[in-house]
Amino acid sequence: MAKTIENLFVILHFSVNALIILLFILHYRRVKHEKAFLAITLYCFIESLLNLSSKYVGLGFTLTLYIWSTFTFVEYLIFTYVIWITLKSRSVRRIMLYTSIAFIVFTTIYNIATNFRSIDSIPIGVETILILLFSFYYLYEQMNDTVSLFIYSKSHFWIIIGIMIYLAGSFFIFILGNVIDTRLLIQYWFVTNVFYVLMIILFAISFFVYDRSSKPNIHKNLRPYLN
Amino acid sequence: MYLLQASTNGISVVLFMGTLGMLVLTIGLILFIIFHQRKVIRYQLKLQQLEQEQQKILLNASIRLQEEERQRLAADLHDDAGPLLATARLYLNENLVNQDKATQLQSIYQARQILDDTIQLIRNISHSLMPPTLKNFGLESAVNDMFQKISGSGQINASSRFHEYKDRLKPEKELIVYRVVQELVNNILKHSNSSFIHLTQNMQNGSCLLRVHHDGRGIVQTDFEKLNKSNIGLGLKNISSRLKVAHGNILFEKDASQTYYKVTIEIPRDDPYESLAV
Repeated sequence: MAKTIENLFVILHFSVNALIILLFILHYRRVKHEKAFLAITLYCFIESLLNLSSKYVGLGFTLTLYIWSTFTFVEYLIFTYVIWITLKSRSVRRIMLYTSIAFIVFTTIYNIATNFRSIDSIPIGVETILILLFSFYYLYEQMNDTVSLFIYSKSHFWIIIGIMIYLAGSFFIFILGNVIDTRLLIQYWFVTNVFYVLMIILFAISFFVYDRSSKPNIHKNLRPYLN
Repeated sequence: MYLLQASTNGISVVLFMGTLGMLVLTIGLILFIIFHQRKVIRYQLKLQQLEQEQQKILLNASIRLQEEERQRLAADLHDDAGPLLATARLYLNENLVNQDKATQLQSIYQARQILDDTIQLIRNISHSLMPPTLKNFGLESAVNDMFQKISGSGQINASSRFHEYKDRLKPEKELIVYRVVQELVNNILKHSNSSFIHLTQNMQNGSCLLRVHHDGRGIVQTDFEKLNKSNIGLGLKNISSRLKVAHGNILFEKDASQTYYKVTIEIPRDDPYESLAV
């Protein structure tokens, strides 16, 4: 592999998943009941497995594409679940549920009906639009919620903006992946790696934010025998 | 070859511009929401701070009023009741038994006179603390009594009329309303230089409304709010804090003809499950 800045991001993409898994293990006692952290760790774990199998196990081009299209479906479920557990509005949660059922049906039919020659641009495009819409609603809900703390002091916020930046940044590459030349796609693919790394960094920040907010600080300034 | 190159460049531009556009939109939205939320929270904190300051002013006014009331009571007892009782004691000293009968009778008579005066004085102090008419006959009688006394002085024409007061308010609320009316009337007598005061009572949307009209100098709602926030106007702050306890409202205005000043007190009727937030 040539030593270029693009390849640096490819290597980073492969290795940053380990960061989240490591953070989850380190903070296991605190975050084990936090479903969002469980979900993102599971996501990173699956992504790592797929990356390793694509690179080191000879699965063949079609099977690899098929596996990655299944991953689109898994990715959608995990990201939607993370947003779903943070939303307060019951009606929107119900809408998310119905939309997800429709998306599952659509992806299944699409995967059965399509011959895999390139990446599954259409399901990815639909997935991105849906998750971005859910994320926008999450932000809207947080904007109206002035009773609670500042939005950036919540761990969920960092996870969701990570998802948003990754999906928004890689949207056009995935959308055009079906129509542009493979050589060109490979040339620009590093952009997805950049946004993936950025997403994982934001996920990592969410661990630290959660860690900070969950620590009781009432005895921070306590001076024994003086207070 | 040229066409292929041109097509590749076009796609690159679409990719670049599209990705950049999506990112700018997303990051812009996130930043907008962060700053908007910060602004709203800061605004709310400021409002809370103002509310706390207002509460503090009202509390201070209430404490000052209590202290003034205690000082007045202490002065009444010390300056009036004290000397009277001391004088009565002088008449009834140990030497009285050694004196002739006429002097004894004279001294006892004088002591009795002084004791009667003291009893009357203590009764007056007690009535100023809790008017017996209010306790025994309710707000309507107490207010009518107050207005009759004012009118009886001949200085000012005062009248009151209760139209719909069959169901009395709770005794605690009646006392609050009575004190508020007392304070208002006191202010009118002291500052307005008016020739009449008229009070009417009605019911409206389940609330008890009392309207006080007068033709002298008065204040409107903005003046009331300004005085309430300033360090002067203890009586007005006291009105506010009392009405807050009874969940009531007060409105100072000029009536439609712009001739009279009108003060409207609104007290919600008692909720059977509600208790006064004292």
